[in-house]
Amino acid sequence: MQNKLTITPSQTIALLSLCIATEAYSYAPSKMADLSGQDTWIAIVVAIMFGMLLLSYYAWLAKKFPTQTLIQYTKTLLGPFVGRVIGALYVLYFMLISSLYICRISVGFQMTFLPHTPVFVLIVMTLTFCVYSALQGYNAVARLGVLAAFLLFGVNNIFLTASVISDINAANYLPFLGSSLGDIGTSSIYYLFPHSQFIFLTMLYPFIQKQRKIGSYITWRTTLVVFVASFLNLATVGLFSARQLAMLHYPPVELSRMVEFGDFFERMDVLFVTFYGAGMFIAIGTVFTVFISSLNQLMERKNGYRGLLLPASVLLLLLSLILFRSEKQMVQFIFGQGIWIAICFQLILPGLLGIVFLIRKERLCNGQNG
Amino acid sequence: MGNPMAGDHFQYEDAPVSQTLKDNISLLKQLYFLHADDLNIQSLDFNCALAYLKELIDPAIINENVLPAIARQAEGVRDTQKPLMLEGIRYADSMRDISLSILNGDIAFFVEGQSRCQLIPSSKVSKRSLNEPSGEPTLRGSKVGFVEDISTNIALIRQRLKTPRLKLRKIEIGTLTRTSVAFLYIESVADASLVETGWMRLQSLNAIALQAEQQLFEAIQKHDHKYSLFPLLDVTERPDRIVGNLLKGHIAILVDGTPFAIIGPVQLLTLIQSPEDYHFSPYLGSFIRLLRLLAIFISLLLPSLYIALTSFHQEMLPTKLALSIQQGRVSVPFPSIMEAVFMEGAFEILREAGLRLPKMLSSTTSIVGGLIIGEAVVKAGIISPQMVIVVAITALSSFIIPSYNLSVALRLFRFMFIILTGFFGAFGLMWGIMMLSMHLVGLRSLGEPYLDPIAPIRKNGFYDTIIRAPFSWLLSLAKKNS
Repeated sequence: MQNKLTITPSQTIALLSLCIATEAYSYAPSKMADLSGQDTWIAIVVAIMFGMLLLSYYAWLAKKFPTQTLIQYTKTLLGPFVGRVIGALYVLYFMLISSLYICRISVGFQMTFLPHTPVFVLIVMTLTFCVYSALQGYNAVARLGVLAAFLLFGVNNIFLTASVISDINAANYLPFLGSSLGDIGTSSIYYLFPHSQFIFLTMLYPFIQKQRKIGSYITWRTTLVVFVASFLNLATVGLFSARQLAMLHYPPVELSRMVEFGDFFERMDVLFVTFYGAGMFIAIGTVFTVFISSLNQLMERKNGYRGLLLPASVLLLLLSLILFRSEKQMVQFIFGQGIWIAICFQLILPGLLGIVFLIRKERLCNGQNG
Repeated sequence: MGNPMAGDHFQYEDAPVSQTLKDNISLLKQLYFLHADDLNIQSLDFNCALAYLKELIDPAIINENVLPAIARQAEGVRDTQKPLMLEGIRYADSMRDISLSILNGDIAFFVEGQSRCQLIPSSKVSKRSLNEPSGEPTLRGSKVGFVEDISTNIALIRQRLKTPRLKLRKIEIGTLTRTSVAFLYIESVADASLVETGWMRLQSLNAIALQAEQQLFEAIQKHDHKYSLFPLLDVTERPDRIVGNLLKGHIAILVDGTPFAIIGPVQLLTLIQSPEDYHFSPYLGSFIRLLRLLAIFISLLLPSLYIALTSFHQEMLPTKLALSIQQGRVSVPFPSIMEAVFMEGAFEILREAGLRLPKMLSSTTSIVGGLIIGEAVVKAGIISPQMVIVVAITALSSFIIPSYNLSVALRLFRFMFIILTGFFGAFGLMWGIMMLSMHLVGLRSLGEPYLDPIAPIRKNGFYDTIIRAPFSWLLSLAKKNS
């Protein structure tokens, strides 16, 4: 019988891919096109490559502490006090990410389909799903994640990309390196950091079965899935000109609107929105479970996180209502402070942890042997 | 009587069999069968006596077998101390066991000076003949269903599985009813841990009375999930279905007094299977299974999809279809959600009425409900014709699903989806689907994932779930697994 908490390497790939790729469909392509123009595709490729390096690094770091999550081994590496402070900061970061994910789907649906429904109601509904996901555990979320990832990336994206491939104008990708390298780099950062939660690997690692597979297996396959998931964003660059792309709200949705089957099936975006919604819900469920389990680990509670669900949900509800009241506020945050926060928690702090590990490697090894 | 599943408050006192015949008879009358006028004590000339419940035994056995055997014993060897020369005779030295055997239809034979009692099997059970199961009819395949007698049901399975590896463990449940329950599995085909899980759950059941298989069903299922609407075990009255499941490594539970047997573990996809799938070609069998799968989605989602598209997201509809729907709804004063709740509610009432009425009248109800009321509400402008079509297709789809328990669960969820979609459109629908999927993915049946082989994905599992692969494939797969 499978444990409620353990997940397989394939399920880890699905969860990571969903947490990384679903977010990148919404605001990133237009923002990137505004900055890097026709070179947006280069920025996407660069971001994916850098993401792969980042993932390899997290896998390396996680392997050093195979039974501990990031929250737990910061204490081993930095001592109880500093470790706890850094752990608490990570918990706050995960809470912020959870709030952002919850608001994105709630505010997005409210603006697009339900303008008369108070966003509060939609946030409560999304939070209810999060709580239920956390109650079911990583295992259930991951099993559903595999299905959602297969439908979203494997069926929907490939089908949509293949459908519009004949309409893609190769000239939209040219001239090569027409933008400055700085713009392309910044554009890559837009694609990579505010959306891509590669850091979750450090939180999922102790729950993964067959950990020997973890390093290259998960890194390569996750990168591959994310690359496939990015086909749609790459296609939008070729399909619309950079100027058009910069003005579009949800470019992949616009792309799916271009696919028609005869006179009858004229709105294929329904298919995309359905699968995208499913992927988003799983990503939200994962993010929330990561947040609640990190809080539980920080508090060193032995009885599981069930007792934390209600207070954490109320806190998240309040945070979501205060921080992201409109889509405009959300976009401003994502591409403003959000980038710096993400860089700090996904690049600088993990980098420091790695350096500390290398410095204290011998002492840690002796401690473990002793 | 209180809760039949409550603990045992009816412990019998025990006493050893006395060497004095009079004491034994008196103990039997005073302690175990006080005010039980159907207890018959037949004293015989040779310092011995028979005790039995006259309504439970076959009088011919006493007159033609028991009394002549006692007479022969007494006259021939002049010794009633020796056992009677009768088939199936047993000994008991506890008065409690003797009283229980009498309750099971045995005859107790007490002899003066003997501290043991002989028990002669002679139960008379009225059985009905074997018929086709009314709840699970098939076009092809076996036409035999279980009956209320557990021995007959075991025989029906044994006739189809002639292997000593078919194991049968018996247990009596219910301190008052002492209902016989048989636990079946095929050794080395069924997983040992699954067998132990099932057997332990069965043994842990502490009940006063066991009258229906549903009591067992709920008691076993609660270990997996207490409140799920989905059936985590399956019930059937078809021996061929039981045999098919035993061959797949599942366990089966038969209960005396009911023609329904329990199968476990089950998965959502095995609930859409029917024994006749194996009597058609793999293509047809697979097609029918895919059709049933589609029926599940239609039965669950069609009314809510209709509400979402007509009330919230009209722009998603193809233009011609949107115009056609709009024309139909021009005179309807209610929103789609009201239409759907009204029509689905009316349909559920009709369905229940059809089930409770005698067969001859149930067809009249269908005609009155389906045709007359349906046409009248459309003509009156209360309901749009499109909604009638939607409800009709939904109803037909729910009838295709072979498992009644699953069908009922889907009906309840359909109403939830209608309400969710009526309030929140596509968001409500998607939220509902995701909550339901999360629920399903967390469910287990006897410890096995309920959504197997979809979640977790198990490639080999698809050959006999969504599709019905050719027998040669299934055989090679079984060999590979073994």
